[in-house]
Amino acid sequence: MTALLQVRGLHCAYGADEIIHGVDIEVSPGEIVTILGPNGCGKTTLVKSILGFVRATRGEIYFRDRELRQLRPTERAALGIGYVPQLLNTFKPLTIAENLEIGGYRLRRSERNAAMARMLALFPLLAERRSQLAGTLSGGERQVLAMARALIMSPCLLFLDEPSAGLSPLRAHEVFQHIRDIAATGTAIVIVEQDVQRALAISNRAYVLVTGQVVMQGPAASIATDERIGRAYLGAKMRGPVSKPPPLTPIAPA
Amino acid sequence: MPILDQPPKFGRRSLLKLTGAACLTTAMPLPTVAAAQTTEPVKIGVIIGLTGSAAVAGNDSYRAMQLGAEEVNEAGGVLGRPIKLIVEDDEGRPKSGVEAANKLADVDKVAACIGAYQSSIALPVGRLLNEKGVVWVTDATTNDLKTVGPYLFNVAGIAEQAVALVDFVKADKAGAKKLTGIFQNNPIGQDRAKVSEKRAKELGLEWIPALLYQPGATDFRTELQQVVNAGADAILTDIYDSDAPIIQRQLVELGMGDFSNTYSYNPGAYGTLEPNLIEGIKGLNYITGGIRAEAFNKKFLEKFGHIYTDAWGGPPFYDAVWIVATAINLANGLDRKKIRDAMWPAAYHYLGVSGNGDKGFNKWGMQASDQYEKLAYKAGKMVPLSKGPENIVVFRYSDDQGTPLSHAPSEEQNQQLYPGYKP
Amino acid sequence: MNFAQVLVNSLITASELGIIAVGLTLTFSLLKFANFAHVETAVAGAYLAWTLNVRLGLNFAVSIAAAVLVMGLAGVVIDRLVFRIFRNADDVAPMIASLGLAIAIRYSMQAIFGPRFLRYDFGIAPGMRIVGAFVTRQQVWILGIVLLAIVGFHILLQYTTIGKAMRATSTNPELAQASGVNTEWVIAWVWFLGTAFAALGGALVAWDTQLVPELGFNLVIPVFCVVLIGGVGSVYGALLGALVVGLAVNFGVAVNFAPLANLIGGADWVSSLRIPADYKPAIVYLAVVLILLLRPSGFMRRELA
Ligand SMILES: Nc1ncnc2c1ncn2[C@@H]1O[C@H](COP(=O)(O)OP(=O)(O)OP(=O)(O)O)[C@@H](O)[C@H]1O
Ligand SMILES: [Mg+2]
Repeated sequence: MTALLQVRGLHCAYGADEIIHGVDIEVSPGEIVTILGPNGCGKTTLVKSILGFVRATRGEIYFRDRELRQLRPTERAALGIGYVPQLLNTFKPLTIAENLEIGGYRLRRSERNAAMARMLALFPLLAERRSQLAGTLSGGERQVLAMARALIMSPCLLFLDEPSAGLSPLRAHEVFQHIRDIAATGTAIVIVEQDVQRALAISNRAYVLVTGQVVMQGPAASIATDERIGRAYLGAKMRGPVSKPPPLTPIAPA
Repeated sequence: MPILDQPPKFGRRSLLKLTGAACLTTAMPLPTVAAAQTTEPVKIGVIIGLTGSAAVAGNDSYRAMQLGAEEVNEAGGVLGRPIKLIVEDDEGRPKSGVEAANKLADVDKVAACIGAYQSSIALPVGRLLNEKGVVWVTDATTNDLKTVGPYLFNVAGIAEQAVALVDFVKADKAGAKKLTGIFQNNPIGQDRAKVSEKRAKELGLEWIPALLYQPGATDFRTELQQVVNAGADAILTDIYDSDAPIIQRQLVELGMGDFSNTYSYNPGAYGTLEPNLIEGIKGLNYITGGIRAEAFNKKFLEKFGHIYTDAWGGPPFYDAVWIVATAINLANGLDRKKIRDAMWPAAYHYLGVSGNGDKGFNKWGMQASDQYEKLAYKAGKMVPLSKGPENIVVFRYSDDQGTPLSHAPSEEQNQQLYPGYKP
Repeated sequence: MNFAQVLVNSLITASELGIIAVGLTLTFSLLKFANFAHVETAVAGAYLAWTLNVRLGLNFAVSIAAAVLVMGLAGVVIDRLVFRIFRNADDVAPMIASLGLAIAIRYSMQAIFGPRFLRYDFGIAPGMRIVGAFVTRQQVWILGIVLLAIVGFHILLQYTTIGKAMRATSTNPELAQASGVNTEWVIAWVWFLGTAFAALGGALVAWDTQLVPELGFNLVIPVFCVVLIGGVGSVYGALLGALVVGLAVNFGVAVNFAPLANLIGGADWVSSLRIPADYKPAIVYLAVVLILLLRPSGFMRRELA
């Protein structure tokens, strides 16, 4: 299976501050990959540089064997990369329908309408409130809207930056359920998550990032059980009371 | 060139005629004093707007000064030496004017300075040159000039056009009871409003508070509407050339079609407008009159190919050059204080081309009389209101302000006139 | 006070300021800097329309339409040449660049067209009397054109894809890019519309009053105040702000405060107490201060919504 996304020796910086110091990452079609790491280690920065919002100073980013570094974020998105940011994940003064329309901005009108209908069918919650402003949605509803907006283009790779942040366990559970459903359709997903156990439970593989470097990688199951991770790198996040993940159905092979 | 070895002791009339004739023919020499050891020119500073907001009048003013200087030199110059004008552009800005005055006084060490068409420049330059003790001759006419000091002279009048205009309205518009005004909101306009109101009340007329408009703005409708609705029998105006088009337009659009109740301090401002915007406007304009005026106008036209556009921007400055030159000769040297004191007799005896020719200074150094012509817009053209001598208004106060002096006030008098002045 | 007349005057002031302010706030909403050159492009548009109308003898409506289009495109070009460089910089650099541009445009206009006032090719006639107010033909046109432009813009913003993309980009440019919106194209549209509105407003002001190089100088403070009152970056707020400023300056100088003063007492009885007309700019500032005291970010939220 050839990699969908291949990042090699990536360095990125805000001005003179280098945040990512030579990271290698690979994502294969249809798989779910989790990126873990303590606060401020550079997870968001890494994702943003893959999407083109933060300048990569060195290294290579290949998506479907195409070098991305010369492309603007819009062009990268057009290649089929979806993104749900950690913060500001919707257009608040726009309605739900308008948010979805912007998600399908590059589609022709008929295609867009069809795609929107698909999304509204997939997320009945959104269908009920299509003319409500995104800014008036709850955090969980907004996360759903953000995913729907990103999915409308049927991306083959989707980045989710902390999709469960600030959500109640029940809402978080729903969101993870959605993520699994999305992956089931063949979309590869990269999750950045603080809710380590839950993320690992639905992931195929995981990377552990510490101060801008990958310190560990491997199958999600083995990382989930590796004690060193909790102690050394993930701190309180691992030790705190983790709500018991509900039983999951096995991941459908891609 | 015959040289007189004594200062002249002519009577006023005879010298008026003499200098008048001299300037007309340019054949007679000026009374010049002996001991001219050097032929290096005597420098006279000029501060005038060659560029900027009053550049047209400024350039004509400078031309008139050049004409005067040329005549003075043809007549033998001063102290046996030619005079030379050192010109600095004030760009219509007070700051440039003051910088120029500093340079002329300290670097060029001029004998006297002439210039400033605008009060905004004449005042600060006057203050500076009074500190430095350099004669400053201007044709700006704000009342504040009186307070500056004994080195300041004005060759245009005592700024009582406002009084003269109210008198004109009263005589012209029988039965007018209520007056109001539209003036620029700046010191000159505010002064106009104050003086007009005072004069109107002296004459027993009612005064409705004037509109002080913001020069350069473009929407005056609401305030103009109030002027129109105020029910005044006559509206006095002092409007800049650049504001007149929009103000007249908005008055017309607000339904005012007849301007025969409008009397202007600056009727020339309406000169370029369509007839339906200005028909009937009357006004008083500064004049170039007197027996020498025609000859001067002819010479100006021959030399420069056009006639000056504004009676204020030209002829008074020509006179200023002659008065300063005469004063230097009377002072018999370049002592600045002696030149200052000689300004009074020089002007008293001199017959000028501006106003009606009488350039005598009162004790404040202001020309003691004002002279105006009555004008009216007929079929879009500004024409004299009538042909006879009654069309000329000579305004002169009966007190000290209207009394020309043949000799300088004493230093004690100066100290009384100007509280801060030290001889 | 002639109430109808003052109301008409207020509406005219409001519509002229409003259309220019909408353009200014539009560029602000996307690019987050104050474009000081905006009002100067309004003046440039007015001069361009004059050139087409008076110099080249084109029909007046055609001249204005052409000037508006050309200036819109000029706005796009200016962005490409000047402001694009600062796209990721903070807001000070482009603001200073816009100040420089403003000065350059103003002095170019003065150099090309001279300091004298100019007027479009039409005669001046007394206004029609409508319920006691004098209203000129061009004022009726101005109100109509501005209304049409605003309604058109509203439809564009709310119902077209590019309008929605403009709103999306204004609230969250990164997310818009991640959604595949070509934000540079959206920005080009914003410059086109913003500068076209400026040119339209400039031409209407010049039509209603007169054309002088200092026109921009007279407009810049009221227009910025309108934007501040409305909430910087808010299109609908700008319209409300324009209405506030238009009403404030006209009623401010028209109202006779004597009854109020007599009621409060203290001084002698007066029959007439008005704010002098030269306080008009001060009235604008006062309106800004009062409204910002009540609502520190202006009437509306600072986004294209
Ligand atoms: N725009 C920026 N300019 C400069 N430094 C930044 C910027 N954004 C983030 N950083 C810094 O980069 C480092 C990594 O930040 P980043 O947001 O990538 O961390 P993260 O791993 O996503 O953290 P969290 O788990 O809290 O979301 C931090 O030290 C942060 O302060
Ligand atoms: Mg993060």
